[in-house]
Amino acid sequence: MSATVLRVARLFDGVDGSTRERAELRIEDGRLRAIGDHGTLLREGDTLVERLDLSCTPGFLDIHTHFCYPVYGDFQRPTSTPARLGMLAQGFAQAASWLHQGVTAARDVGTSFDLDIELAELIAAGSVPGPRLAPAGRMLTMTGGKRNAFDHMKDEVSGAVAARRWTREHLKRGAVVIKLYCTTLLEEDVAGYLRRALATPDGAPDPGRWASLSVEEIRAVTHEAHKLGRTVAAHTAPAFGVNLALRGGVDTVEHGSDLDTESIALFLETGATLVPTLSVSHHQIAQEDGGRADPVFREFSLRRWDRIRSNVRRAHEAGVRIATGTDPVIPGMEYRSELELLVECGLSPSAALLAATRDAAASVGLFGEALGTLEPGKHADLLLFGDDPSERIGAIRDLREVWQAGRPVPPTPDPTGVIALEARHA
Amino acid sequence: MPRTVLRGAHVLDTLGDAPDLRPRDLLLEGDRVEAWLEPGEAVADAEVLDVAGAVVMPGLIDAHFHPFLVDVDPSIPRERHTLAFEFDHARRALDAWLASGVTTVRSAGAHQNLDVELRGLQRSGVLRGPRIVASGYLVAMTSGLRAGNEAISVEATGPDDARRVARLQIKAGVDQVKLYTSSSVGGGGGRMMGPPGWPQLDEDEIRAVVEEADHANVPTLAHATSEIAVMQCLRAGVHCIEHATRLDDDCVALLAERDVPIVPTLAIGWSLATFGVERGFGEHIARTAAAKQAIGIASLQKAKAAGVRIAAGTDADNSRCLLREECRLLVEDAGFSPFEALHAATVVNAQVLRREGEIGGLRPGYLADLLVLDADPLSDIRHLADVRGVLQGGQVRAWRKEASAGA
Repeated sequence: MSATVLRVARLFDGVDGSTRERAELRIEDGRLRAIGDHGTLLREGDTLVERLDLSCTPGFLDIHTHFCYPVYGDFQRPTSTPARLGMLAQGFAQAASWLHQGVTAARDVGTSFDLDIELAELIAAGSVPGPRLAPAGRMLTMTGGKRNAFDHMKDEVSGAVAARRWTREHLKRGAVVIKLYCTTLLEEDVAGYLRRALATPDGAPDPGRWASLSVEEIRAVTHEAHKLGRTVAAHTAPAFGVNLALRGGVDTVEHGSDLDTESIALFLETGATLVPTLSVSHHQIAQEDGGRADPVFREFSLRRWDRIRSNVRRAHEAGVRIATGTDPVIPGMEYRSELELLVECGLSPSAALLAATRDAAASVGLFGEALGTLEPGKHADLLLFGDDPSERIGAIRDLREVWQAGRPVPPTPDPTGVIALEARHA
Repeated sequence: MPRTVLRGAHVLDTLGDAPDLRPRDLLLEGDRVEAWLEPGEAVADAEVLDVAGAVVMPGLIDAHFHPFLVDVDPSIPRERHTLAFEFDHARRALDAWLASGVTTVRSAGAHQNLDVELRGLQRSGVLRGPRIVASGYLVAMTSGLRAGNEAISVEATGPDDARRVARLQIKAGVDQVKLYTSSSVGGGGGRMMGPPGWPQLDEDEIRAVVEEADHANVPTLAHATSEIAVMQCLRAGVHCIEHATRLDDDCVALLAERDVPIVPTLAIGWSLATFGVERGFGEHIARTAAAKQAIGIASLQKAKAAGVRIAAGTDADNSRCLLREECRLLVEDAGFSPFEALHAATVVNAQVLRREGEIGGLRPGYLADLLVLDADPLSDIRHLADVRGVLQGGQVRAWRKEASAGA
């Protein structure tokens, strides 16, 4: 099979955050074979692709998606089959949309009926366009930790042995990442709870009735997952939950809207990644600006938003690894905002790009091994921009081409549009 | 409401006893046909869709379609059929049928009532395809379908049990109730418990299902491939007979007397005989299908001669087994005139669905489900393959880009 040489104006390879000029990449069998200066890699029989005015970065990773999250289905009756096919329709559409936004790999962290495991198989087989997908299937939580509409998204356990057995079973079902729902708020009166939280000095939601997985249960899960090179993502809001999860050896902490001094120290000690999912918090506030929210919820969201941003800034300055994840569970969300919001939190454009590429790949175990940077041996998943996003993050909105496995991703036809009929040759 | 004029075509009306094909323009308003116009007649406030030189006919209806069974590779074991895999196959199949001019399908059965769910997605605008008229699970006798095939059925023993499952199906939102009343003769794999066509559900069980369907004002349809099964269904009041492979004189007489239509599904027989080996079903299945086809055609011709209404459905297992092949086989193998085949695929099928006056025609008031062809299918039924475009409910759903006026 012949090679492709892609010649670009600038290359951000994701290795150390620097950009080189006049670079070219040699691609064979979907992988990068060599990186060099213009005119150094082309051999006879190669296909030369010149993008002499474009900037190249690695494909982005969104490590907190829920592609099949029920939007079309009836959320009050989510175990009914309409929800299942609706969730798949949503999953197909969102996977394609994220890919065209430059997300060439994603980690899906919690889906009812393990539908993301099924979706990942179709994407891998080439039947459905989408990011390379590391699915979590259903989540794991503690006995009594399920809540209403999310009942079918989670299994419950008590005890380290039960957690270990469940993890072994779930890895066999095809989970590439294990998603733990580490802490659950059991307050019946959520508005009352938020009012109490708002009365505390920093508005943090620690006081309250929480259920939590134990550190032994979490450790049992991480032990089993790590044996296979797979990783564990922990959803938790309060700082005590973050610290518990980190002590249990999780690879990523999702949301982490409350971090204390100990949390930062534990992140650094364990090498775990913070996935702050800024997009969903930001989108929620934007929605609530539409006047739909209870004033208490709105006040709480705004206070939390300030806290999240200062936490991200603090964590980044301390050297905690940060990765992009959007948590797209509200209609109308997009991927790109996550990088812009990271820059708002004080990351440089180059650091935000690393959070979307190298650092996201480094957070997902074996799945990320050949992703996240443009180096020989890695998948040729790359993006081409009109301008250099490591200089000005706004350039990510001028995305010209998405390549996956060494080839430009073709446009995905609108699944509800007009079918283009082929001419009939008699 | 948006108004559109289709200009420059010959319009084929299949509703009468004889074809009516003449130059006309069609005025559409919203999702309906509003009026027939003289060619070139001026209309205010309407977009013009130039279909010069084309033949416009009502969108086809496939009266026997299984959305989840098309193009499934038989070498992939059933336990590997995830829901996402099945949904992916269904959406591709629906697209292929829509692109071939089929604007409505009668789903003749789907496991877990998933055709009801597809219909729901269509109604919420997130899934394209022929309008689905759903049956959901087949109602079968206990141990009726062969091992490996039973997932598509709910099983019953005794009239009370049959009544119960019929009620559950109606509650689940099906548009009709499908009965499985005799063993299958085609299909792949598995152990056959009895001879082809052996009767399964008994008459009292069938009657209980029909009574419940009648209460709900939904029709029943029955898979019935042998004389005994057909007679039981007819005596029990079933509204439509699927396959009807073996019909004796008594069957034909009772079909005619009760005015019950049959859906001969020649396409699947042709497809298995033609592509069965290539599709991986084995020589035996292909040979059996060819032998069965000859019997089915003889039965069909007898029924037609007695005045039995004939509907058109494919029972397709692959995307070459389109409704236009059913129409072609009715003409080329069963001796129908092209008009009779088109009448079956539009008018009779609409009757079977109890949607006459709404689909299967293009007179004013009908849904604007239209098939735009390059040439006249009355002159050669194979022109059904010359699709220039498809409209459904007044919306263009498929169009050939390079199609130009007067082509």
